[in-house]
Amino acid sequence: MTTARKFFSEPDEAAEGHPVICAQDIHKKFGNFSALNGISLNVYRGEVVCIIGPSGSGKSTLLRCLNFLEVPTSGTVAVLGQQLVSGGAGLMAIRRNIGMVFQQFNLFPHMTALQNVMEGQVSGLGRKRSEAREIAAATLADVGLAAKAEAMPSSLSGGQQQRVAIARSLAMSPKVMLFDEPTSALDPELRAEVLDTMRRLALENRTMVIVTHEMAFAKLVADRVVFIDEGLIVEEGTPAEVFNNPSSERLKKFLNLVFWGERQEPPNIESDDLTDPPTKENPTNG
Amino acid sequence: MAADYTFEFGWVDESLPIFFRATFLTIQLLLWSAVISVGIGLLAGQMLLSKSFFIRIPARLYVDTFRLTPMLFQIVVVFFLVPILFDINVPAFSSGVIALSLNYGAFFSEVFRAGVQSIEKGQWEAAQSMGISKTRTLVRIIYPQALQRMLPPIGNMVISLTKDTSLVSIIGVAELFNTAQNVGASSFRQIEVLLLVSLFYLVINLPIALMVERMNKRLNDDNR
Repeated sequence: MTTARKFFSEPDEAAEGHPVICAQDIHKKFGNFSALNGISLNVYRGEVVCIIGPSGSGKSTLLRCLNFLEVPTSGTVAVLGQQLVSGGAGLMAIRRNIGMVFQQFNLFPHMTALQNVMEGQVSGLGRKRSEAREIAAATLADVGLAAKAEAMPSSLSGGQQQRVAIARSLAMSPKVMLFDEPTSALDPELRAEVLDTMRRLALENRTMVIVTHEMAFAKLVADRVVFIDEGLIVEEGTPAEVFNNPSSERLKKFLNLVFWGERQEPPNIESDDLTDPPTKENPTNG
Repeated sequence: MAADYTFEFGWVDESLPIFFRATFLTIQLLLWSAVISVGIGLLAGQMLLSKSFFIRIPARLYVDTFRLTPMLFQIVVVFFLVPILFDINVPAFSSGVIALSLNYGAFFSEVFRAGVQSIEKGQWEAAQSMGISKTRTLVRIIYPQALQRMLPPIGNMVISLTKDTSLVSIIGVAELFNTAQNVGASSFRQIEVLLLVSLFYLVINLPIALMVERMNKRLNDDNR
């Protein structure tokens, strides 16, 4: 069955030239705290967009606004030309086209890996169980976990759990995938397997929006890097532009801190509104 | 004085059929009330979780009314009030079931509410992001996990419901305790009768306690 194998094949029929995601002037307030202060972002078909920025800058909030897990205080989001409206069946239908991978995996702990990958297909898309099982098995195999189909999430490593979560999302043949710091909860040695799975997805021309702290990964896979600070897009461009030729002071400072370990000299911190950066004497700072 | 009292069980043979009938009635009270109160609890528990004021507040009022007043009082009130309000004749047995169900439904709704709330927000978000409806998320994802956490309190409540069926004796339902009082009065052997009846309650509750224990163990093993 051809529909059973959408994984790693090109996502179809997103309207040509039309952005897959079109977010306009997104504001988000939590009480008095203003997380997003007017962000507009278009994501085009086949594009990999990496969102970087300091913690608390609003990048996760922005990502969660893209499928209305957070409803923006003002502004609009359209996915595949359809505007998202809070509540109701319309939103559910649009969400079935948007995959999401979470920092904490959020696998269903009472289901096996295979059942996890089947659930959205059956309960969300209404596929038949037999068809869903077939697709789930194939998708798990694609992320290298064919042998773990019957395993419970609690018996899997963090990296394996996150790959099951990616498979769960992929099995629904989403038109765009959102990744919310997918490797931040993982031990360093487990990150590679998840990043490699994502890199392979990127190579397949999937449309992806990735919030990440993995700068090397962003450099490698991103078509566009978006730097966010204090709820605004400060700078965006190709990885080369953003990482090698940052124009804003804030991005320079951010990159300076992020890449401190790769330099010979400790970073030069001139302002004291930042916490002490890590030093050789005190590597836990920062 | 203890030495003066001779225990006398000669009445047992003759009364045993009455006690079996009474036990049957107690079990009926238990089953009906358990099923109905769990149903009420699921519904009211969900209402307590509603974002809408107009759904949440009536549920809160119901729950607190029945949680915070004596059940014996509720049983009597329902017995007299239902016929007046609805102009129908309700047998004492049904009236007892209604009162027990309303009372336990209030407690169950708090158990279910707490169970659902104890599940991590991420589970909801994962389901939402896949476009799974709220009802289906509850049935497939939230309740199966919540059940494991709720099973000990639910089991304990069913056990205590068995015991509380004895309160229905006040409106003349011939369940175990009511029967015990009658037989005790006619045989003048109150203490012996009560001792025997306590055994009946024990026999009803022991299998329930064991079953809960086993389900608990199985659920725990499953999620290892």
